[in-house]
Amino acid sequence: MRAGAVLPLLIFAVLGVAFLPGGVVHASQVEVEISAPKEAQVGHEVQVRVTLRSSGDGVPIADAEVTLLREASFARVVGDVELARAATDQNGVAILLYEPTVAGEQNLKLEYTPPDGAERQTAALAISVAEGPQIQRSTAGIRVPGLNVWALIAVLSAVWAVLFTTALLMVRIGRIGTEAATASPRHADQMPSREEPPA
Amino acid sequence: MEEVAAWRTRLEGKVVSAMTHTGRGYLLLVGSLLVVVAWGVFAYTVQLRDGLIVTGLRDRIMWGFYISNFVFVIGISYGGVLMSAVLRLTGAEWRRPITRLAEGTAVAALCVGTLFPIIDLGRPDRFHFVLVHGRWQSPIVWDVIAISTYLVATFLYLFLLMIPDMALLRDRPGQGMSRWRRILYRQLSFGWVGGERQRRTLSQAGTMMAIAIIPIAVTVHTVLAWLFSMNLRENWNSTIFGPFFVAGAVFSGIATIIVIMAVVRKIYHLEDYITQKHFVYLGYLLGIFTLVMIYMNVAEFLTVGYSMVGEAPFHLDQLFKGQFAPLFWFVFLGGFVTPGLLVVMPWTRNIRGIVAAALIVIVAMGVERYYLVVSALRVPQMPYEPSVYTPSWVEFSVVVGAFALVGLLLALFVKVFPVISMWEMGETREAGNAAGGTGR
Repeated sequence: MRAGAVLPLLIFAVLGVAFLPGGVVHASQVEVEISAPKEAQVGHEVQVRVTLRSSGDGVPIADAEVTLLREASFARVVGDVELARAATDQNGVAILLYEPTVAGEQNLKLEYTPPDGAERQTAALAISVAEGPQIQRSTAGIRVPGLNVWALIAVLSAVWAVLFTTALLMVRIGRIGTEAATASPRHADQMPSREEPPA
Repeated sequence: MEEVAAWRTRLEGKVVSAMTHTGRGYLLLVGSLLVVVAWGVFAYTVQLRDGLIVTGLRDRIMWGFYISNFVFVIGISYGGVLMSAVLRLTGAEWRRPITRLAEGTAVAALCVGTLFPIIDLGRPDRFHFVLVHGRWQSPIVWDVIAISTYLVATFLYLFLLMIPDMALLRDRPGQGMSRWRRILYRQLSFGWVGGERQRRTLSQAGTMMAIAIIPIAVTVHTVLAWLFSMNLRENWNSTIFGPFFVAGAVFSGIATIIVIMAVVRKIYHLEDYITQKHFVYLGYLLGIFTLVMIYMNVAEFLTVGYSMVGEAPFHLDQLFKGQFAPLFWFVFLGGFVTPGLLVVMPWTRNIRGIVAAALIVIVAMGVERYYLVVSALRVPQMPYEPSVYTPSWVEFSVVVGAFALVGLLLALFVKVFPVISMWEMGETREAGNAAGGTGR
């Protein structure tokens, strides 16, 4: 009696540890069995196995759509984010794969439609997600070939070239004035501003 | 020809007299401005000693009165330069008596405007870090490059077009010209004798600078806008911010030139040269820009308000009904609509009406820049109570001192340099005379 009682308990415990928080859920006429790892890591794929059977005779339910969801909020809007979607096979099994992106305790939700076309039903499961390698890397802008710091330097150089040319023209004005001051016949057109107002 | 020569002598006498004769009123003005500047410097030393804690700035609202006035003053500078360059390129003859004032205002405002970001730093001794450790990707680095380029361009533009006038002053015998003036004018006249080759070179350089300075000025104020709009903040993060800043700069720049023009005209009795026509024409420009500003505001707020994404409800609420509502509605109704009406209505379309409109615009644009900077920073980025910012006496004193410094630089400018471009006025007069017109 003692050995007969301990053995099933032991088997249950081992299976329970292996497949927690998996379990069996009865919902109206559908029996749902969820098998998922208890722990996961950010960036590593998680497999959630869902088996649907008729609750009366245990016949597998094929071609039923199963959706894995996670509750999330963004900019004051709360709702379910779809993580994965799959249909059950001939054995009533659907394999849902998803990659956690956020660390922490995650309360997930499974949605499935009973074969009689009744309202969609849900089942819950929890997974503890540990920190993993950084998977989100924002890229700083779009890389357009040729559009880089050298383009900026080219524009800036063009502007400064104009300024420098203006400065050179001012120097040229001064040089012409100096030449005129020597009053050579070659610069006969250069007259003092008071005597020859601009035309 | 004799009539032109007499007219030129009269103009030169008037302008030179304004430069060389210093009355009590002028000394009083300069003295008062010096006192205000000194008070501003004192307030700044308090800030240097005790740190930014003496201001109203804190970690959540870290840009306030200094930065809003930085935008405002740089805008004034931009407006002056752009107006001068555009009128020069379009050959608007009526511009000639006022371009020098516009260019002088631009330089004075720019010299002071560039000080504001340094004043805003708690540790100004670290300012050079932006050059040493700056990254090309940072809008602050873009801003430093753009403003320093603009500063050089503005100085070149001003002094280039002043060369013939410097020669004129250099060649003037006696007439109260002290030794330092003669040395200064000799240096700045670049050996100008007014020959054909020199005039051709000057014309070439002047046109080149007038063309170049327009995109430079537009870029400077757009980059200044990007300093804000590259942030992920409600209201700042907007594609319209660049053109919005440029339009606002021209708007406030024109208004400032109108007011300075009125003051200089009154003090130096230049009524014969700066006439009602100049005020009315600038008034028309002001009127056009009131419409541009209204259009930009409606375009911005209607788009944001229609979609109401993110923090827009909070921001629009504080702007239309909340803490900033009195300022916003003053700017919108008082600063945009009222000046427009003053320009449009025939009985206010005169010097007094246009100057009144310009004064309202200056105040309104200062206020607009203030709430533009502060209101966006008040929008919470995390779940905390919205901050409150009030400029302290230190900030008020430093800013008032800075404005007094602009006034002081302008007062010194009109004393050292001719306030009216005499050679350009002479050209117009001669051309008008040759065509049988009045030339004015």
